[in-house]
Amino acid sequence: MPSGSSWSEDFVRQLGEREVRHAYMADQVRTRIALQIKALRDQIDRRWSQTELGRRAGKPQNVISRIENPDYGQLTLQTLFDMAAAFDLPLYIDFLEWGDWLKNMRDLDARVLCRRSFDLDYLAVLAKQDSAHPSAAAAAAAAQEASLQPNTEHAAQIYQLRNRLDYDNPGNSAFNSLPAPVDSLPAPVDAASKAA
Amino acid sequence: MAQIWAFRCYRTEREVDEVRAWFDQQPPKVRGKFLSRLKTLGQFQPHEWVPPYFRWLHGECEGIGEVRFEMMKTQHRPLGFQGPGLVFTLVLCAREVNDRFVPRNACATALERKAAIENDRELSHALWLVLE
Repeated sequence: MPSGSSWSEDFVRQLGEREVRHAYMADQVRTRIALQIKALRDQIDRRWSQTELGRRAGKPQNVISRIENPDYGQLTLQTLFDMAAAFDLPLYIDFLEWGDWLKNMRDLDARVLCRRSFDLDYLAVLAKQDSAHPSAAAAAAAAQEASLQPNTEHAAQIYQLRNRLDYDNPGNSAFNSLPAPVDSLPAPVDAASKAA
Repeated sequence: MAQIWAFRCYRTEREVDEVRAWFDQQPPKVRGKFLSRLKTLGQFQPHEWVPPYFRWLHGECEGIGEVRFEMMKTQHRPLGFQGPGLVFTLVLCAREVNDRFVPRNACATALERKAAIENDRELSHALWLVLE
């Protein structure tokens, strides 16, 4: 695989046939949705069962089970909005170019699929930092995340952030100012010591 | 995320890759979905090889696992076994109809091929598909 790319030439050549690549794309998208809904349920600050998610989304447990099955073919946009409301997360849907799509879809790790619900204080901090120093704001957000999350989620967020910075601007100096890889991270700060 | 599993395929003594032969006969939608499922499973940790993506079989099929996917109202069940380590060797591509495999002797054939490969590694080779 060439450096800087998420795929090899041989891999994309397999997608040369239109019907093959659209079947591949559809299954990867359905799989990602299924895995992300499970990851969001299992996230450390939620730990929701399918029944609990169903209760919050106004759907029976068996509907949640179907949504978490990538072979389920009847997923509607309204259902996704219902999931978004249950998790208090925004939904983002876009038609991408294939290169961007392949890059965005490269990681299915549950840790990377976790998301923080609406948090006014957090967004306000980001807004202040963003206006003062745009590239540092992302790094500061990661540092704040580190104080809130256990190491595994911290690692995932750092990974996401590194990818985002690398993707948006390969020469971004903020990349080098990000925290070190996970195996050398400091221990997370628990809620009590954070409050103190 | 990188592939952490390696996939291999059974090949006959005449060096025919029967999994590839099955794949080549499938419509494009099945080929695309098969590629997607292997890529997904290849990224999963072993404990994530569970339904709806995969299932380990029991009883007379003990030792065999099935990749599970549906396309065009057909339940496809590529069968294989794990080992050594994070290697999954596909030995046969069956279908499931009314809770039974087609061909009916899919389990027995899969177990025979598993035993043959464990006795002679030359009876398997690396998956021809590229997953990353």
